[in-house]
Amino acid sequence: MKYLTVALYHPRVMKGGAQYVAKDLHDAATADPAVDAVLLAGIDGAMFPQYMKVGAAITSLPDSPSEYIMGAAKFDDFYHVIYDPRRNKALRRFLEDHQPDVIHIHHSLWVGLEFLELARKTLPNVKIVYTLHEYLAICYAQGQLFRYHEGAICRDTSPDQCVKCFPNRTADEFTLRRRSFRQAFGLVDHFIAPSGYLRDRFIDWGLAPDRISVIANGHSQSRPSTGWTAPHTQTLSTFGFFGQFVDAKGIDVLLRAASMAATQVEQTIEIKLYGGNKQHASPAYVEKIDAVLAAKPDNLKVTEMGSYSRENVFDLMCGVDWVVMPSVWPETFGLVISEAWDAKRPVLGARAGGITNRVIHGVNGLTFQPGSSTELAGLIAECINNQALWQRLSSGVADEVTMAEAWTRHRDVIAAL
Amino acid sequence: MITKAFLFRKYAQTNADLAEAFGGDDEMMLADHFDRFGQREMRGLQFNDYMRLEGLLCSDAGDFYIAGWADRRIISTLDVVIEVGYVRHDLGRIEPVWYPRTDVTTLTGDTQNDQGFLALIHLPDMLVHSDLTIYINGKRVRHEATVRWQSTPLFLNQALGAAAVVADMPIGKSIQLAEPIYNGFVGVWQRFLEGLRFTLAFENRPRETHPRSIVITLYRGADMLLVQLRELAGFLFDTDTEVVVVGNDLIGAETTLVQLRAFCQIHDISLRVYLCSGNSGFSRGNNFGAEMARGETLILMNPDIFPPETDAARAYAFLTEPAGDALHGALMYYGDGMLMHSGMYAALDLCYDQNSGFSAPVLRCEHFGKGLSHRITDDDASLAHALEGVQDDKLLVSAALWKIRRDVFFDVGGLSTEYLFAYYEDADFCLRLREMGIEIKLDRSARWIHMEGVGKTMTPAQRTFMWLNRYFFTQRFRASAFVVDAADEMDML
Repeated sequence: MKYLTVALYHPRVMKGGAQYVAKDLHDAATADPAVDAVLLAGIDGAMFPQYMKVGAAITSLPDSPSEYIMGAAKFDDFYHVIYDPRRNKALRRFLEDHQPDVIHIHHSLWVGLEFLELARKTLPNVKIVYTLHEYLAICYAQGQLFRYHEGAICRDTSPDQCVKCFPNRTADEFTLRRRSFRQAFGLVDHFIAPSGYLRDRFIDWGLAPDRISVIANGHSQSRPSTGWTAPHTQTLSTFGFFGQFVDAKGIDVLLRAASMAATQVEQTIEIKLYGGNKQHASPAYVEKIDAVLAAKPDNLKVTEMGSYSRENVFDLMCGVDWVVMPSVWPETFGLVISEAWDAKRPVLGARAGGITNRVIHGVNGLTFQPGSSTELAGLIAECINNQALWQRLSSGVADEVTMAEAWTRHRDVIAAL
Repeated sequence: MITKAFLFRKYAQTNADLAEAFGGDDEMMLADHFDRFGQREMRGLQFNDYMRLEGLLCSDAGDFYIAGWADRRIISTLDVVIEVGYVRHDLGRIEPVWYPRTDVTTLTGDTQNDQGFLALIHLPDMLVHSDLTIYINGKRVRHEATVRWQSTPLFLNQALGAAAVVADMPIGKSIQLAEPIYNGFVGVWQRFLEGLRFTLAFENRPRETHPRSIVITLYRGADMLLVQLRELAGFLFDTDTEVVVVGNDLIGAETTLVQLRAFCQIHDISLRVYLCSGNSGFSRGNNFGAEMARGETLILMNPDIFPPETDAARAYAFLTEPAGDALHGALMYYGDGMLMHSGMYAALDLCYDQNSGFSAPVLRCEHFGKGLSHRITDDDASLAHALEGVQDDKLLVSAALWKIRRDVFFDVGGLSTEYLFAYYEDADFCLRLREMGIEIKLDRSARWIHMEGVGKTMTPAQRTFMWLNRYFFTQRFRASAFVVDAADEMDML
């Protein structure tokens, strides 16, 4: 089987969850002796000119003979189209030359919905699988289904509601946007959702239930398979946040909760914040966090630890007792949960999006209302010094779906097409 | 007993030329001069306290828009001279439009006269120069040593915007003032249209003949064009239908054309794109598109028209079924699926101005079906109910989507370019066509979506040309047998 992965970016160009998933699956396919795997990554050529060659719409990734970069200079972020004649020409030839049996698309950003039309026209019998990593087709607000103006998760994606997030656009424009995505998605044979929550949102939006399956993102285990015991501190008072320092991740919720909890306990509570992209946080969000920090009790220690990577996340996870996922937006899967569970860390997760499909209160973690610092504060206080709780939750953590299992599930889906 | 005397000595003392000519004691001569000249020349008057030229726009084509105010008890007429460089243009007495200015009334205390004025002036063959002086009633009221001459489209836009002070007044007042303003602007508009050029900028698979042509006229944006063409692509290809796009003032035309080229690589449709050197308006743009069209049948289609997501076949059948001699329209629905309208009609009202005692008929365009609880997905029985109020003998159809044989379109004379930019030209076409005995049909099975559901704020210029077009439409058709008396409207929905 010739298997073409079409991704948004490549982890070597820019790190990110969706591109890791795409690359991992591509690697799993490559390892499958029955599969000839190729990867094509759409990128913003203006942002990464070092990957662009003058006049060449598709270029090879150095030292990776089966991995290619497809750059574009412009992208219509509303309708998700590119319409570049030179790219079309190269892309058609690429598809004709490689003749994939299956095209697995992981994004429309910097790929363009017209890719689907071109692929279908060039290879009428190709099987097209599409993994939905976020809600971009449904939601123009960064694909987060989060109403920043209300600070609430969005459950009503009617066009008139979209206008509330984008007052300068009309409901008709959003109607047309939805229609464009639906029309393009009509060319896809099957969709993959990493969580039941995301699947449900797309079914609500209009996808037929039998066209979308849930396959959890595969995870490569870093934990030693033998001779390893999950470490933790004596007081179980170190809490870790892993993720981007952006508004919807709820760092403010965590810090407010930690401040409240610190007034209830004598121990010092330590919060370690791992992650980057603070520059993308809104000034109001940063101000909110600064205000919490300025008024924090003396027994609360907050440290910004800087960014992390796949390579060191296991070790960093082992340096905290609990992992908090205070997202206020409906996370689609929660890669951090997989990483925490790899290190047998119990997760304190907001009941938002895909987190609700994975963290079961009292079994493998604890959950709280998104945005509720009060509820989270109670959980933090409950966790401190609570050896029994930690042991119970840590041992309740099941192993994640491995890459091999995830790839097998994908093969099953493809075989059924 | 009140006595009255002419102060001839004061008249001579304050006018040195008279003192020199008549001396200071010749009462008869000085009184005679005052009666014949002095009053009209406004001798001894502090002119600027009674008249102000506040607004001046001027185009390099010799068009001027002047506006200001005057206390009409003292300054009742305006004699205008315009000096451009070394050429003097003496216009004599002009007939400006006088309109109410409450701010001036507060200042002067005159509540009986309209004191604001505006006028459009055209100087044919004007030689552009850096120096401009304007005299009113012999007084220099404006001098510009370095004039910034505007191009005609900018002048049109700004002058129309400035004239919104009149357009925004109640129709009973404003329509009395419309004629000179319309005549002034339509002259500028016609001269502007004559200077426009259309350029073939893109073509894909052009052929000599097609069964039908879809003409899409864009104004500034092409935001929805690619989405629209993607929707239509299958139909266009399967039915050998060509698309002629006319771009008026198209922003980002270069990008759009590149995208269209890429689009045609995927959807190999017959497409030509013409770019206009300015904004030729809805009529001229569509007329040009129709001239370029190679199909026997013309489809005029706005760029925000889409077939329904489900059951598009009936919508497409509207495009392919023969037009015969008639003009055909379709049912229009909002983006949310509610009925937008099922055709339109022109209704006659009386407008009035109680201050002046003026009343006159004025036309408005209304739509059948607006506000009905009928959706695009409803069955035929629901539709039949929704269409009960459509009166076929008064029916007009919106040019958002028209089907007509090309020769019939030109027999009627195409869309009238006597309307500035847009509004009322499609109703005009329908009424002219009806008066020629040609039928108008609403295809009751053709359901299309018109993504124009949300009212947008109109610019002052848009408000003015819409108002002027309404004035012109009224003048042309108020006596037409095909307009509806307001008293008969109750069941027309």
